[in-house]
Amino acid sequence: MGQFTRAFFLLFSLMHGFGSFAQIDSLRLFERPAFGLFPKIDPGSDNSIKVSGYYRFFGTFTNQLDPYILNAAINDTVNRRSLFIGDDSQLPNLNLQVSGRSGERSSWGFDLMIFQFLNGAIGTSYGKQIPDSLRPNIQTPLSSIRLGGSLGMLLGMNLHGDFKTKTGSLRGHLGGIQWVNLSDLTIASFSGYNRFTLYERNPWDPTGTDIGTRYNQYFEQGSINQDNRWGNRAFVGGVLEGVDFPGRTSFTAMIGKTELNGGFSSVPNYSYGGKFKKEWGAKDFISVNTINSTSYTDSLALQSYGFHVATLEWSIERNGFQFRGEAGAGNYFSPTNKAGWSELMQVKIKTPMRNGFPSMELHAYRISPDVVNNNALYWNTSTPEYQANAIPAGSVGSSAVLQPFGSAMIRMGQMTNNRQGLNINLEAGKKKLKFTGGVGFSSEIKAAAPVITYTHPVNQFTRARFWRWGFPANVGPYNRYSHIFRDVYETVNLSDDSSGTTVYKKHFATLEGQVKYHTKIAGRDIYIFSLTQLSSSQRDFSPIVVTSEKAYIRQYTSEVEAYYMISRGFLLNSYFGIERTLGNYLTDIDENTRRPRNQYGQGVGVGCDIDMGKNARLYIRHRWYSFKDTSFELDQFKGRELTVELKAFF
Amino acid sequence: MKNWFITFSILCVWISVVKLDAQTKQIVSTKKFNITGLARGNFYADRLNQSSGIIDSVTIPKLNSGHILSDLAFSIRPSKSMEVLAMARIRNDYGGFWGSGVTFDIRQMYVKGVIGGIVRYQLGDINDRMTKYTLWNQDQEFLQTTPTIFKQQFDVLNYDHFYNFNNSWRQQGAATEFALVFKKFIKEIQFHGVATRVKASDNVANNDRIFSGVNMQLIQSKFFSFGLNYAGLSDIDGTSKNKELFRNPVLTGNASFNWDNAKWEIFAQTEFGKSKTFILNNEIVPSKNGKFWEVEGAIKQKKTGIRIAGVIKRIDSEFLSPGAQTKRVHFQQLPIAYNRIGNEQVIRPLTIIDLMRESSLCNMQLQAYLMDFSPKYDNITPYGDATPNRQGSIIKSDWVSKNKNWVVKAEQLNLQEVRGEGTTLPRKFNRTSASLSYTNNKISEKWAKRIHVGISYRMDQTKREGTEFYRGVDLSTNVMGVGAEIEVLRNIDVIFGYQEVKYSGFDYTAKRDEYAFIYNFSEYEVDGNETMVAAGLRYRFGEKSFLSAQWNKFDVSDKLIGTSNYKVNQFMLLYQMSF
Repeated sequence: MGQFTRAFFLLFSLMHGFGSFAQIDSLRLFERPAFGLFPKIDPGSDNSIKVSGYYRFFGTFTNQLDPYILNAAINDTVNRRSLFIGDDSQLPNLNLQVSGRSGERSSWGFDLMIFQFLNGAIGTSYGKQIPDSLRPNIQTPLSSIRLGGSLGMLLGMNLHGDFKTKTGSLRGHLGGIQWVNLSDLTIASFSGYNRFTLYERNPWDPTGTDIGTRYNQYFEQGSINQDNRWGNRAFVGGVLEGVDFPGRTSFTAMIGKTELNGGFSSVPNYSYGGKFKKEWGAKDFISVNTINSTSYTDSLALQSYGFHVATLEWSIERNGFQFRGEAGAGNYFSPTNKAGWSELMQVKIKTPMRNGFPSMELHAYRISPDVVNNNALYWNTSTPEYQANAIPAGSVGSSAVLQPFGSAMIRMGQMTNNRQGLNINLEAGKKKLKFTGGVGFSSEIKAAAPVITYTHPVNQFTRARFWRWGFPANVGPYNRYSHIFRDVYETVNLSDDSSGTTVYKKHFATLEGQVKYHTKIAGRDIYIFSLTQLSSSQRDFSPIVVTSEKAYIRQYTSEVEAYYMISRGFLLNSYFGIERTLGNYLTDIDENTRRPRNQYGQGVGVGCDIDMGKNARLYIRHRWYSFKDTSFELDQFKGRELTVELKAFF
Repeated sequence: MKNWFITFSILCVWISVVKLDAQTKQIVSTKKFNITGLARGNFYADRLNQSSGIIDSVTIPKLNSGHILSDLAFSIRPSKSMEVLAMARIRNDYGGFWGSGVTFDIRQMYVKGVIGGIVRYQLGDINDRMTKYTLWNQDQEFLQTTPTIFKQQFDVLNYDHFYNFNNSWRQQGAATEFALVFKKFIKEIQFHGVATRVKASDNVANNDRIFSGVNMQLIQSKFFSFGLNYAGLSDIDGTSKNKELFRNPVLTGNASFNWDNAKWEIFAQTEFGKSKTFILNNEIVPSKNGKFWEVEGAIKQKKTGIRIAGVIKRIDSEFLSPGAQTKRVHFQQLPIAYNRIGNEQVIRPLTIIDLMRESSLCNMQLQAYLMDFSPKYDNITPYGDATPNRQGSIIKSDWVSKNKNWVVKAEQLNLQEVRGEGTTLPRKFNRTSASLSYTNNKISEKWAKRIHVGISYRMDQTKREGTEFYRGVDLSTNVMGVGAEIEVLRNIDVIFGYQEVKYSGFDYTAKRDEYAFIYNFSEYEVDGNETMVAAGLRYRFGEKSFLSAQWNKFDVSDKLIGTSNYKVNQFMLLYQMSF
């Protein structure tokens, strides 16, 4: 027993001695207990999880009078009637945003999206049971189907962290999708001069505090509440922001993928960029911005393609006069293109609305044909981008994303490369009547392909819904329509080339005007908005819209909409739009009529907004639409479309 | 104009309020976000024993399967008058490791609420029911009388396929309802409307098919009510290239009468109506017009608890109501378990054990025409109360003891065809059924345990005389069930069940074309029996969860088809909880 006691004390001393030499944890809050279950004291938690999101039911019932040709190659036409529940492939019925904080300075979040098409295919769950043959091997469980088709993530998962230092604050974001915006010429999306119609809602539009908010805000402030994506670009990766640094400096650094780098190949395919900004005065700043993209054409990552853009941006405001600008250089490199660096710039001068004088903005820009960056406000319309394969865009396996689609007739504020131009914008207003509008003109820098593209503002979404899910190119009765996200553009081929070589530069002119009127009828608010757009594309320079045969393409559209609040819970609305597009004899000629485009489009709509309780609204729209090209007899359609949207935020 | 105005004014005064059903005025919970659902784990081990005398060297005799799943319903309330529910199903199949056997999908989603405190609506996945002749999801064969031990497996199947206790159909679409309350003469008028998509267009050959239903129920007082019902299944013109359009409007009226005093309770109800089935833009296919009526009267002596009811009915052979006649079971489908047996790998016909547990047999959508059925299981009411081509009487009686421990039911059904099939002679149907059950949640003060025992018997007979040109029809089916649940230890029950289905005889089955017109008959002869005997233990964790282990022996013998004699021994483990 005495031996046992001695041995025990010896062992105890030895263990205690080892314990004394153990490394000391500098973060340790409590003395380490000797043994037993851990932790001895509940470490506590200030975790919190929040769930928010929206439910959106969207149903479309279309009654088409004639079988409009969607794809002549497979004899596919629009059905006379169509009932579709759901929206586009990226627009779910339910979006749940789950977020949490692990402390005051760090947070995380992810979203879940759920689709429901109400197609009567009822099962134990929406997805089909995965056949055993397609189930993954247990040794490689990632190798096959794992998740159900109706459930997924839309914006993915994000981690956020805030760090305060003596010199400034840092905020880090990892994951994605994140919505980012550096500058117009590096990474941003088009928001224009906020001239649009409100009759057809965007899927991401908020509901507002009441049913009249949206229309009142558009009248009073000239814009409506938009969600995070408005003006921004989707980005997946890491973003580090620094603010409040000495000398009023801040910065953003990012590396990851934009939509153009999307895909799961392990071959590097990424974008990186950033911004360094110095501010002074009330709103003055100067910043250096850059965005770059690198991808590889081969599995050995030997040949790369991509682009670089670097700009200097500034803004100076004196006595209400703003002088803003951005200028820099960019390039596009690929195995087939080594044009080198070229210029890009835009300058904006804005005067204040003062003493009854309207506010005016002058916007001049020039983007070289050799600068390619589809993340910015200018589309690539001149430089053929590298394709890993030759499969046409829209087809399975195609690597073609945003390929040049000819010189586009674009809206004011929008830009393309190979273009220089000037926009003059005016804003004026009284209490009940407001006006915003302007004129713009632009020209190609060098003669590009003999192709012009344009879209149809009237019945834009209705027409886009003819082609669901896929984005086919060169379809329609004469294979000249291409479907893009929530729009369709039409391609015009010019014949004034010289043995296939384009000789003439194309010039563009546009005029936009929007009048907003607000009054009361029977004590209830009524808002009337009218939007007119005229544009032309022609061989010769013209600062104003060409309305003669000299224009390759002329397009005139006018849209009027009215919103009348019958009560706090019910709002009536109506819409009328008319569109006219004409081509001259240097564009496509119909084989039978021997005449160029002569298009009429018309849309008439009525509907209502109904308050369904807090944060929930029902939007009903009925549209009579028609389109006719008197020269191309197959290019015509007419019908009715009823859309019902039930949206609730939580 | 003046008259119209006066009428309108009176109506406005008459109608005091517009209201919802009391139980549906508000969405009760006020939590913005809540999770409910069900979790389940089950495991099957089967062993096939064939008694053909020849060793089967092809069919695997033992099969194991199982899964764990969790249905998580995210209930979100943007406001007090609206609820969005999305249920995700996460399922891990037996044998999956490191995520390889996991499926993750949406099971249901809907938004429901109340507009202005007046109109109740639901959009998305909905469960809807109207009357037994318009929209009614009739129980599958043997469900009503099967012992509890087998019902556990039926319940799993029914939960998975949205076969609800209230006989509603799971549909995808929208439904709305509201009610008008009156001060005088009329107590209330309830309105209900539903529109669902049964089939989506494929843009080529199949049009969108819509089920629509409207129900108006006038409740004059507690004594009398009257209703009008419309149920229609129709294709939407122009949604595909197919010009042929199916149409099936069903219009019915119903009325009920209640009266009671201290001693007696009298109840009477009727439903009557008609259907028309036709194909637009097809001049070859003639339309079908069918009518039906049913009158039921019942009297109950309150003192003894004895209730006697009588039903007379007539349903034309061409009465078609997909909402009420669609079956839960696809009898033309084949079971997945032991799909083929024997050295010749003959297809194994479905049996009562498959009806109890085979998901692949389940039909979840309204079918335009009458589905196949199995005459050996039910040749009399294969399409429920709305089975066409039936007329006759039903006498029912039941007795519930004062303490509600004892329940006795008996039914005698005498029906015949309205129109003979292939002959002018109608088939005659006779069904006698009886059941007895005893339930006591506290057997005695000393032994405060629960017991439930039950026995049921059903005898069906179909007859038609033959001639020198065709055989007479004589088909009989006998179904017996015995079940017991005895609590032996606290919350631990011993459960036992026995079910036997015997069938023998001959009948003709109709062969139908794509428009359900009979063009020929097949001879149908059976002589066999199927038995299931099972015993097991169940532990009840509470009202919402239990763990059950059971052993089940299934035996089928067919005197006409030798390859159909076999046994299946089944072991099942089921753990289920709802939250």
